[in-house]
Amino acid sequence: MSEIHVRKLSRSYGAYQALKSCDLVIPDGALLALLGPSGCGKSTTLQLLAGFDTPSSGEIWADQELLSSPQKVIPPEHRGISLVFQNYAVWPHKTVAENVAFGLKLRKLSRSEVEARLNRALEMVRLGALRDRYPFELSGGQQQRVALARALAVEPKILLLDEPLSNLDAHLREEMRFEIRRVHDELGITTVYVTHDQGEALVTADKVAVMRAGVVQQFGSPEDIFEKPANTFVASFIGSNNEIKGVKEAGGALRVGPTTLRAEDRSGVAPGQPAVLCIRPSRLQLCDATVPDNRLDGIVKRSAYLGEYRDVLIDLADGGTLRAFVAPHLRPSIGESVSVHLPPTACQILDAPQ
Amino acid sequence: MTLSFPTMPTRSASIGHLRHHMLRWIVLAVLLAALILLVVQPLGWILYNGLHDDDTGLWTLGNHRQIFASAALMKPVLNSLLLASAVAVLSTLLGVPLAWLVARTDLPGRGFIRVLTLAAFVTPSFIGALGWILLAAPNSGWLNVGWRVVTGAQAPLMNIYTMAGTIFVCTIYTVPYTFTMVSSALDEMAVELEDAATTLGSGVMRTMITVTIPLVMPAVLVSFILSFIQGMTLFGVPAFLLTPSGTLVVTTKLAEFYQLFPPALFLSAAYCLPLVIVTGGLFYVRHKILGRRQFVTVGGKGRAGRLIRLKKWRLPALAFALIVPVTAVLLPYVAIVLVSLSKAWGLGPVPSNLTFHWYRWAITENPETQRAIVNSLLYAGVAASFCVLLGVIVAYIVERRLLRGAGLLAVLVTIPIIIPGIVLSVGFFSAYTRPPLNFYGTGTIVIAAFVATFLPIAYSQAGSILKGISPDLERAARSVGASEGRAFTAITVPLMRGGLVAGWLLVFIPIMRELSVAIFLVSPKTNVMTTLIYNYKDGGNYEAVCATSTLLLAATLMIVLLARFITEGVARRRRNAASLGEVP
Repeated sequence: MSEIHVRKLSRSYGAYQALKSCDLVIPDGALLALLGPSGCGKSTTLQLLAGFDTPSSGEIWADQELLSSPQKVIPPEHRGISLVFQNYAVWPHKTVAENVAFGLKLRKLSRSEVEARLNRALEMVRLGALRDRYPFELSGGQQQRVALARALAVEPKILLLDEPLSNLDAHLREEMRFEIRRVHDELGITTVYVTHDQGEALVTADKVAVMRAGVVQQFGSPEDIFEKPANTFVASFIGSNNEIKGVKEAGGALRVGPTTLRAEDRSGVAPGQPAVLCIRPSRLQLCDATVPDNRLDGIVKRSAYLGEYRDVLIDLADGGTLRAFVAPHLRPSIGESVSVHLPPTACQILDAPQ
Repeated sequence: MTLSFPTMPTRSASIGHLRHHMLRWIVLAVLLAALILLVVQPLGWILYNGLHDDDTGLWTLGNHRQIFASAALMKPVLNSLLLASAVAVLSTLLGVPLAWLVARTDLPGRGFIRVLTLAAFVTPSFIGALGWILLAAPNSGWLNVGWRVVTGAQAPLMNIYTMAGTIFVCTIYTVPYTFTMVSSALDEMAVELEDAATTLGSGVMRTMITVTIPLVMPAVLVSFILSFIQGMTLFGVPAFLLTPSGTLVVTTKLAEFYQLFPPALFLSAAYCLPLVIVTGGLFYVRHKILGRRQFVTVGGKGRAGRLIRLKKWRLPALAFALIVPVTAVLLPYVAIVLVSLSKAWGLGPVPSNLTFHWYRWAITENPETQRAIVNSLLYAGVAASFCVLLGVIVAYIVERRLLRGAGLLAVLVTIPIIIPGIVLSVGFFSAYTRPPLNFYGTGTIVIAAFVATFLPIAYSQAGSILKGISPDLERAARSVGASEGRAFTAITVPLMRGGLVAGWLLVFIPIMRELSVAIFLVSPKTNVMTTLIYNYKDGGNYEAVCATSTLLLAATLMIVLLARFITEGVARRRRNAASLGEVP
């Protein structure tokens, strides 16, 4: 229920720069995922948003209010921002109801109002039946819901989620992804969701910011991030990816050894300079050696059956390897010579990584 | 779910911001003032006084020069070093094997030995010395009397009023420190570490030498150092056992300065220096060994009950393991209790000699003991509470890095650990028995000195409790609208409660048995039980001394049991409350 503007936000700890001049705009009511490997600066960003940390430079605005700057940080309790922690941080000495009602009681609301809001929050996460239990009597998923209800009960303007599902088992994690999205859709609270799991980010978020080494690499919709990665890091971090090194040719093509591959050119590289072609393993097709265009030849090095598809690793004749996900009924055997077709619409030429 | 907001009035944001900072500065100012009064001021006076001449009051280095030049002043320093070295070596030789036997082998009666060794831990060593006077004084000591009766010999079996006797008594009350540190290192060591060696074909001895011993080495070294410090700084035992024969150590020599008229205040301040240098240096070494670790933990979970079989060595090992329990607890306790129940000690433990007179006297007749009992409980209770309060607040600020100057606070509350009790006593006497701050003869000065002495224990205890409470629990409270203070009182304090009771006891018990800190600060009206026992012993009324000592032990034990009872009650209530929620 607030539009967040993050402007040139930086945070350094001594010589280490955790966050480097980060710019983000989170529209009112949107769900933004901050995605990246550990140490990428996503948790630092969250701590700065929550007001637990002071920026080294830059500002955070919510609507027309300056929340954080190096000179002044509005303390966490006055920001109207709720945070759900990675380890839940459910208070072990309070029951489920006491946990959720804590923030309400601080607001000096009438008893009936506290009770009404408490019940609404518990219903929202389907915990009504467990209200008098202590945290140690709850499963991990239930504790997670308590943490979520506690954050929602105070009706925050902004909700922050710090890797909320990373301590859950795989099955529960999948279920909770949809749960979080459902709650967000019902309440429409501006939400920032930190995760290192691309699946979580793609399922839950309206917008994804991919981060690496304190820098935002790409900021866009889940489709944009997956279909049109800004660079090779984003391409390989979101889903599986093949990178083929070569030399850029004029008119959307890359020369790899004797072969020229046609592709969509999204690089800023001049012809004759090194560049990289990216293609998802699922878009590769095994083909006859007679296919004239966009074909590479090689030898099967490894083949693994994964039920829904077969994961095949191919040593290319021109050096390098390709990974292809092919239909499970195809059974290329190790050592067999194969040809692979790279559909030009699935190929993108990007800048070679530094 | 409809939303109505803002729920937190935004206008209060900047006011809250301001108040938030005001509160921090006020807390910091109060803390700094308290710590300056408790720590900096007394130590400052020791330094200042040490550099002044007793007769002229002028600046001088003469005091320090005099210590090294005068044989009479140098001899006690050498005696202290001898005593400390012997205690450290013997405690290690007794304590380390004892810890290994109890933690790792099928020694019979392990639980019993552990409990009795810990009983030696809570027994004030000067009361132990008292027990040993009853047992082994050259003429009247019961063991010597028995020896003469049995063998017909003229010479006594042993004489406790010697350096050897003092070393012996200091050692048996220092072994528990070594035992506790080493056995907890052994308990915490991951069983897999030893199993890994065994699966590779290493035998029991080889595993012990190549894996176990190197891993507990830091614990052994640290307990050696603590034993040495103990030997340097103990006051009661040498005062009871060495002073009668005219042999002095640093601590008893300091007491002698105060018995002069007028007391040699400035020379005594200078005389504290060697003691502080040695303890300070050793704590620095300990710090280097432990690094940033507070405890000597080697990591790992609870161990299964697989024990090394001693076979034919079981009985010799048992005899060895019983040395400390028998000499530090059983024998002296029996002697003290029997004497306290005797009309006259010399008549021996026969039925006609039995009486409750001394207890009746101590509790209902003698105003001195009555006052001392009340004072001991009151001062220890108040001092322990202040100690824990200060310790918790400083630990909270340091652990959560709330203030920039937190490091300074940590240093201030930790300094007293290197200051022997008797030196702190000198410092408080110098600082607070003169205008404008003259507290001589009040309970305040005694309590303040107790607080200063045990601040480091309270602080490190509070720190380790806080380390177990995730800061996210407090942050969660703040993110739903609680202020820093509210998060502390509503979340942190309730979660710390169990640990705090233990921490309070950890301060209360040593205060009850503390003698050296109080020794120069009490007046007839503010005597505590320990100082009264010390004074009575000089009078030679052993029956009264023993009854008072038994009362001190009983009072301490009662408080410990009471606190146990209360904390377990709280835990049980919470469990019950929790299980009620399981209905649906």
